Amino acid sequence: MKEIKAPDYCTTLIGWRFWKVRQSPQDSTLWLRSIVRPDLWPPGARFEAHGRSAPGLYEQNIPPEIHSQSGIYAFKSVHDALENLDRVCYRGTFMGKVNLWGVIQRHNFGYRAQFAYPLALCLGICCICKKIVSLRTEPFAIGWAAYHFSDDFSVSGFLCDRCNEKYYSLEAETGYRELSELAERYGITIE
Amino acid sequence: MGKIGEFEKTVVADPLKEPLPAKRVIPEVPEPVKKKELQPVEVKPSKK
Repeated sequence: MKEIKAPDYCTTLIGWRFWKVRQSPQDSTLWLRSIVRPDLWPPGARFEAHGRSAPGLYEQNIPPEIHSQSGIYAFKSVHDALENLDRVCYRGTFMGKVNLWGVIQRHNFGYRAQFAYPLALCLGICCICKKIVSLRTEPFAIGWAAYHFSDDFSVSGFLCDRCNEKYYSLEAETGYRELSELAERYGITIE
Repeated sequence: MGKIGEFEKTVVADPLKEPLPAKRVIPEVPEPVKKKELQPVEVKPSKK
């Protein structure tokens, strides 16, 4: 007889994670991109965990296993996420909430999930001084580098008001507009 | 992506509805209303 396992939750779990933002050179559309892997998150469709079965080969929709590093990573809380700021280079990235579902491996400070979709963008990390900026209440700017050795896309750099004033003098209005367009494209909020 | 600590437990979250944005229906842009072209009118000086 086939075993039927009841789910532990009938809702999604909510985690916190970092994203980079990339701009397509063809049509200037903005994309959320994972930090570690060069994966773009599709707007309007779930992001699926990849399992690497052979070098260079991805298999889609593989539930994360217990003793592996697979799955879509997210932290349990803002505190857990910000604790990691100095461990990995999160400069210039955006932090926000993410819906997680499917098979989820729960760890002390975070999750490895099978499926995910962004829920909200909340904070930006200044690419120069690492100041944590509230996207809702504090001024910021977004700069773009058209070419980058590791990306086919234009690369964003998030700047706090002070560093922007000191080094770049970019128009803040443009950054707000671009971020709003990104949020609308993904159907997510800026909190 | 950073340190998420020791493994605790495997759980399954099966939401009744996937949390994806509803597909937006972009309304068709209506044709602009054609304005009736005005014909030039000869203006005569008024008689005093």
